[in-house]
Amino acid sequence: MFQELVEKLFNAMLVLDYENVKNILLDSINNSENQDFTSEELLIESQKKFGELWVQGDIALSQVYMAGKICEDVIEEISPNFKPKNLYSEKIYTVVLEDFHILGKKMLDSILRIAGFKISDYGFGISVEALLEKLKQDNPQLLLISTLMLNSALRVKVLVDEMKKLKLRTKVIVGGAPFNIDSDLWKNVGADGYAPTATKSIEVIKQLLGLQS
Amino acid sequence: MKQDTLTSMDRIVGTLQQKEVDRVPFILTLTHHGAIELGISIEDYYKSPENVIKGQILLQEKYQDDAVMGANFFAMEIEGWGGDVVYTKDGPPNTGRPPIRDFEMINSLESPSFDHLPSYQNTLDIIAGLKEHFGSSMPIVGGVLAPFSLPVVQMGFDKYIELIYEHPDEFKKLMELNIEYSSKWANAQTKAGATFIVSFDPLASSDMIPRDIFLDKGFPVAERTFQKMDGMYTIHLASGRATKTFNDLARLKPIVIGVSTSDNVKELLLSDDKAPAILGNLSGINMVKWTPEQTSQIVKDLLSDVKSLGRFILADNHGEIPYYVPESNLLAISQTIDQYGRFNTE
Repeated sequence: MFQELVEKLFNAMLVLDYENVKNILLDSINNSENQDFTSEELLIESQKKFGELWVQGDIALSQVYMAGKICEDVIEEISPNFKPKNLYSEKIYTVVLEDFHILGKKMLDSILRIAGFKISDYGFGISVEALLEKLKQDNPQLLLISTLMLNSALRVKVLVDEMKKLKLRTKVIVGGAPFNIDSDLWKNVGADGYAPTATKSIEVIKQLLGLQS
Repeated sequence: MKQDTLTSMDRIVGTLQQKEVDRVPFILTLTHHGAIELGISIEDYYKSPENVIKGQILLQEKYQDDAVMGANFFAMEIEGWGGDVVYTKDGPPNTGRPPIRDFEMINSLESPSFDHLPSYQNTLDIIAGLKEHFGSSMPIVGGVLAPFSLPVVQMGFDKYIELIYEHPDEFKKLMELNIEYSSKWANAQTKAGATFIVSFDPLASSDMIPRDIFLDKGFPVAERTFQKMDGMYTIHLASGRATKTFNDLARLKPIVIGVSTSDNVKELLLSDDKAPAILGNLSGINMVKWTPEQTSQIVKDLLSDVKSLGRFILADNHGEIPYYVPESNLLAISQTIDQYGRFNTE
């Protein structure tokens, strides 16, 4: 039943069928007492499939983005009905380090909100120095960093080293093209975790923060 | 190093024409590395065309590769559209905040004139200076951001995807402007002395946009742009995979297609014996951590795979080697080509 619905929702998102996406989600919400999964699990599983197919080269990044956008639009419309079962209170921030390419971060913010996380925003184009000041002030439990350029990815090491000196305990998860190409890079820059896709970050966050899956 | 019997221009042109040449040509696409050679910051390096000319000559002398870069950083093109360039100490200059903030803005946009902008004039001066130094012995590489990919920096990739899918009128308008702009900028570089123009078009890769959308929206834009261009041109997917669109791109008649490290060069070359030459496909990012021995082995493996097929120019897969790739690895590429890339040694 669950996999069948995942497939239906995936196909509706792939062809950008807004009404169908909305109806599948509303049906799932209305049926919630008779099924052993939540509507956010259904959404996340469908989007996970987009991420996996993109990593394999079977679909394009634009399709992953538009699938996320259609979900966001539908959720906005049906928001009184859509409430994630688990709401997490952990202090989590996302940022694009030293760069203005925000696509990855946008997709990340969207899926994490669907998953029940409260996401705060450090924006984009921010330097390591400015980011450190913000971390000192906010002391979040988790920081997710998106990068596009290799030199920005390498700057994570400078950030993590400075955080250690300042005894900041914020866990750092990284993502973006340089980390996808060099599979060891996230460890080399001292990050606590790496997520190749936005949906994968949900697992990594739960693992790092010891949250129930 | 053995004595070359051909000039780099002979070698590249011969390879494109499927004639016998002395060795596999290679292009290291080194840009900001010139600043390292001169011991100055990247920002200072790019302020003066004389620096870049000097840097390119030093890099070519050191590595003996088969082209010099006339167009050195593509973020500069955002200045023409009212955006800013952001310099870093250890990488290519990047584009700042996208100048097109909303879809409405496109309706009042005009194709920019770039004659008054120093960064454009500097590029033309660099090309002319390199032409004066090398004459016809060395290919000089010009470059443009392709009209179909330019909006990624004009308005951000997220907004651009929405434009493609949901705003057909504004998309059409922006493409008209970009076709006019890109062909004009390409022709200015050709006139200054660029041997060929690299059209960087990552959105022609199905990693970014599904093939059917590219064929419907991107292909006609590329076709019209190339029709307006005076000189030879290549298509580069800037790390994007070419496999699904390679034969489509070949129909646009570029002299070369730059492919990804995830593409199988041999299969692409075998897929169509009339297809253009392939440029690629070493991973620039992984090259940072390779040892010289690994670098050499990877080059040898690639050569043994494709050397006999011809139509191949060895290069990185992004169109620009990262700042942190060590000199020892670049020398390893050069030496391995010299040793194993020759056609008369086997």
